[in-house]
Amino acid sequence: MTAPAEPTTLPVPDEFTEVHEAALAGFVQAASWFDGATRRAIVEESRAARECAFCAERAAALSLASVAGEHTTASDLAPGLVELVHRLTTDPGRLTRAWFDEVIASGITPEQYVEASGLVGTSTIADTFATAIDGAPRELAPAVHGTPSLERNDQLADVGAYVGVMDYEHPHPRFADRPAPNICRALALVPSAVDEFWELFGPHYRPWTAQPEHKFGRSQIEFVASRTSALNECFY
Amino acid sequence: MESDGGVPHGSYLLEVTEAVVKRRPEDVRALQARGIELLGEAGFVRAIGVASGFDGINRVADAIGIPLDDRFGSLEDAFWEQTKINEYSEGAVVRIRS
Repeated sequence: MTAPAEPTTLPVPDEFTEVHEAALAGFVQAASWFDGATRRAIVEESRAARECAFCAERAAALSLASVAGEHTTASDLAPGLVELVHRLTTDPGRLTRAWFDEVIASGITPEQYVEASGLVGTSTIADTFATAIDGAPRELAPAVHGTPSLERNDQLADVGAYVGVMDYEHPHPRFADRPAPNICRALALVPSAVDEFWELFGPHYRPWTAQPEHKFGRSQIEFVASRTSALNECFY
Repeated sequence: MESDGGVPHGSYLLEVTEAVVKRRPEDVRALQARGIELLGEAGFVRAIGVASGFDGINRVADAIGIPLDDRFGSLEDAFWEQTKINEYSEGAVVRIRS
């Protein structure tokens, strides 16, 4: 499933290479609510979900309740965490508050939920890009020993999401210069998850009109973005 | 025949986006020469980058269950009114959830 990094013949911009290398290093290091081994396992579990027969059967079913079975796992993560990572990877468009409540009831804390969700989102960017460019996701380094910081943000707003989001009336100091759309507020319960996701995502959506030879303009960017969201059945 | 969305090389962009998001590197390779012809090498890589980025951000949005921003909500209200969707019994339920 994975392959070592090899030079591509395509001109990958330096700004991409830098943030992808940083993201890969972060996948195996302790962050706020998981140690490096658990974060590495979450990324490996997300990769394994794409080969999980139970996930494939559920994703194809009209009703999730009509399909019984167990995930094919690649780790010893807690069952609730496995369910979170697999569903978010293979069937993100049909997540509900009831499902979120079940994951939390299984023993996953909201902070862990947010960090894991951000990690799946971030690793999806890295793996989808690497697969298109080099044929497979990059191999993960061994986990780095370290202790989670347990940092959380208590300055949150309720906008009807499953968890509180960034509160612009009382912003966490680290978020003072963040843009306002709800998607940018989503991971604010765990500040390190905000940083991790947006540092990788940023160059992927940044206009590059400074390059006069570009033939891929704003309307095409939005078109690709919209098509991707449609394929994922994401209606945000 | 699929729509091109009214953007330059839209039909091609639909194909390459699907190849990227569905993680079919062999399809990406098959589309590469035409992509370089239409978008340039840098543009082809950027198109892959946008699709990859949104493949990730879609998951963040869905995991957190964030609602549409207010500025989109006002457009949505007009759509709901125009289409009379709220007159269906399930419409009200969906509207509350959104």
